[in-house]
Amino acid sequence: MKKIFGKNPQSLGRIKFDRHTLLLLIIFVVVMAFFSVVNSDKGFISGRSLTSMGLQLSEIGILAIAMMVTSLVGGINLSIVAVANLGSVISGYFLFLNYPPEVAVGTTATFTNIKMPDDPSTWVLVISLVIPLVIGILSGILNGYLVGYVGVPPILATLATMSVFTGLSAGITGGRTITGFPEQFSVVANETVVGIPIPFILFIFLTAITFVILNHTTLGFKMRMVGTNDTASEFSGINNKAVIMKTYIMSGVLASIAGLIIMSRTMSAAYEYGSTTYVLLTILIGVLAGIQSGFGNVLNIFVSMLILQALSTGFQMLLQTVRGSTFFKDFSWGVLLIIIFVINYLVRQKKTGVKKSSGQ
Amino acid sequence: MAEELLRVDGIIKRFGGVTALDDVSFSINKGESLTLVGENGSGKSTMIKIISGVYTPDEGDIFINGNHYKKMTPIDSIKEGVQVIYQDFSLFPNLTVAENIALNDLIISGAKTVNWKKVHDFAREGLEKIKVKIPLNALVGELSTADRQLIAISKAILADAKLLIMDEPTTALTRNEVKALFKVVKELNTKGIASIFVSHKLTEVREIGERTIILRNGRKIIDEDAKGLDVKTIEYQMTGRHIDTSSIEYSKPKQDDVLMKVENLNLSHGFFDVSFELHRNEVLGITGLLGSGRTELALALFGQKPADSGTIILEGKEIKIKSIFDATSNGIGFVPEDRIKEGLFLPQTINNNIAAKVIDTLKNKFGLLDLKKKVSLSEEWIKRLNVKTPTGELPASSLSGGNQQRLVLAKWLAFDPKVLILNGPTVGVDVGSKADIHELIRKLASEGMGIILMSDDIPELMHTCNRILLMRRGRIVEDFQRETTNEEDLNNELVASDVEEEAKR
Repeated sequence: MKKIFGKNPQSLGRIKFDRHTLLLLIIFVVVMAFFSVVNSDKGFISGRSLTSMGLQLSEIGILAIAMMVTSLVGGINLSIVAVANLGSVISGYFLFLNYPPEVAVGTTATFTNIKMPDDPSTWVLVISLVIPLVIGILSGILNGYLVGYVGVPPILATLATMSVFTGLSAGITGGRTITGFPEQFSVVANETVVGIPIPFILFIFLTAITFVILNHTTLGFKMRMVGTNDTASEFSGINNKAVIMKTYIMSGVLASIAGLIIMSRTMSAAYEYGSTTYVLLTILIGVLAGIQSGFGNVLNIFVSMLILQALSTGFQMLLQTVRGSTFFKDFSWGVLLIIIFVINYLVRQKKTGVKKSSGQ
Repeated sequence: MAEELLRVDGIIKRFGGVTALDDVSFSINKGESLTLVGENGSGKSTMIKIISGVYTPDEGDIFINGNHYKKMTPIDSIKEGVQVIYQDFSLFPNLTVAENIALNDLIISGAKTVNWKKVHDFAREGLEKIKVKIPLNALVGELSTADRQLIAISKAILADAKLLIMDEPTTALTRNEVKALFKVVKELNTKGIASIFVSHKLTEVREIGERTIILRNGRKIIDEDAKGLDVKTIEYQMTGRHIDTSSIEYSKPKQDDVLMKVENLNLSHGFFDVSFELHRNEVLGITGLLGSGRTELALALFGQKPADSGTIILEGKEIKIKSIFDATSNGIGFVPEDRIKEGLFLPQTINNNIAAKVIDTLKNKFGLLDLKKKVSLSEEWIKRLNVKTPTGELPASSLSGGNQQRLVLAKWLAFDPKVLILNGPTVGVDVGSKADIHELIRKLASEGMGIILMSDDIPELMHTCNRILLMRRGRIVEDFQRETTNEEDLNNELVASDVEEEAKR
């Protein structure tokens, strides 16, 4: 543990965050231990259960990283879920244009389901997978332009673009759910490699890539500096606008990859999937992971995600037979957050020894 | 008159292994004016925080108005009439003068609705008590620093202050404003309100205080009448070393080697027709009061607020400076005036702060950030500029003012600029660090860098510059050679423009 988290503290931002990672890992171990005991008869730590956990946490985990990178530069990106959905919807629309369902002569097909032929063109499939990524990049450019160049506060800018993207998706689909995506797409969400679901592998991969970008590239360094003090970064010759633009593009691309996983899992696309619940959840994960503007470690996002999923699955198993057991998930997440706040408060107070006083 | 207001006895305060205050005792009488001086890290801020109840001393006693405290809370302190005016004044910039002054009373009264007439009457009364006139409906954020300070004082007086503590109040004031401030405080002293001034500016120490206390390394070194102390003595007692300015070696600029030439530079509402030459190996001072256009000129040369018209020639080639990127890519560096807001990434590590400008050069062969190189670069500059820290992994906020300023300098020196613009490089920096920074500036110039130093600190200009330009209302009005001028002349010229501006109002 020391070796992973203690060796190069500056690469993780601040020494404090080593402690936070440690705290999260301890909580994770405690939670896993607790449920493996109380749920031992139900097979909490069984291959099947772990696989299903890995599948469930990945899409939100990737969205949480998309949120995190913007938090790091002192921003927020409320449009991530809208971007994920818009990508799938436009991808679906592209497939629909190529493979419309058969309709009676004289009427036009409404855009609800795609009629995939048995041997679809590889090109069409590839393009339909690239489309979401392009949407992610374009959304990032728009958000980055509004926040970095026009100077709109991030929360307002992305609230606006969230509405625009959701509106676009709703307009294109006419509010309906698109079905009939090519069978080939379902591979991502349904296959495993040595027992590990592909989405989870993607989540690990994207966590690693983000870790490298944030801690081992000049872009990551500049993001931290911009997030810490954008005036000082400007006066240090850092191009704030470009850094913010790149950050939101990164966020958009991550969001669209999450969208692809959702599309693959549900084999459908809808304008309202996940909507605001997911956005709030990613903010909660960021807080749990101790992300602040200028400081934060993507590994904490990863571990936080593991904890939340373990709590969710664990309580679901434990309270299977109890009515309203799904509410216990939200409850336990809230309690966890409060526990983290209190621990951090106590640690900080012990360290500084400064009395809290109002107004002084 | 000589009634004791506050006495601290044998105060000891430790932070971890560091003893910030080591057996300090002193007292202050009603209506007395005391100056507290010391270098950064000498313990003066800690002392103030103990008097105001923010810190609890490890040992020692506090007596206020005859009440004995072992442990004192900020509320106790305020109840006993201690009011501290911090450097940031703790005012709300988006509220009006009246609202700011009446705020505390409004909250304490517990009224659910606001009686605006009462608010205005209250605020007017507060300003009258210190005999100043500031429009009650003006937004505090739009006022000058001096006015904001006066508002903070009147707020304190209305809170029934018996002891007014001011933490480096004169840092951002012009000389006339400082005089006005001193007058207000002296007036309050005659009414029985005691004052403690914390200051770095040695000349002021004698102007304001009846008594001076000097702290060094947490110990009280001197506690005596200010009249008996001259600047040299205070300087010596603060630092424990003599700062000799007589044997300074100045670099000799090469007159035929013009590094940078500025012609007819203009910025509306900033400066007009500014032309000057900067030679290689030269330290060029540009002075003027706040509002004279010197800060605007500095920002224009750095591209933060580009000039409207005019030409800038660097090493014989005309360059366009329309952005900070233009300036830095032409090798122009800039140490800003406000190191907290513009210079530093306070919560980030010292290493990150030093590397911030040159980060793009710290890549390995895969294009990734070379963390080892970053640390070794930072360590090298920590050593070269003598930044006092156990490790570069501590946040910049852990450093004292003087060391923080070294950090900002290090960030730019690592970039190795051709021209370095310094805007008030020693504001709020202690005497020892100041002398070190001055020496560094002279050394950099002698090594070939061209330096433009913006400052209104006359001794600073005289200790570092080869030539000094005086700005007044956006224009360069005079050009002094250091050899043929002295501090007094320069001071008179500077103040003359102040008087002129005052008359214009």
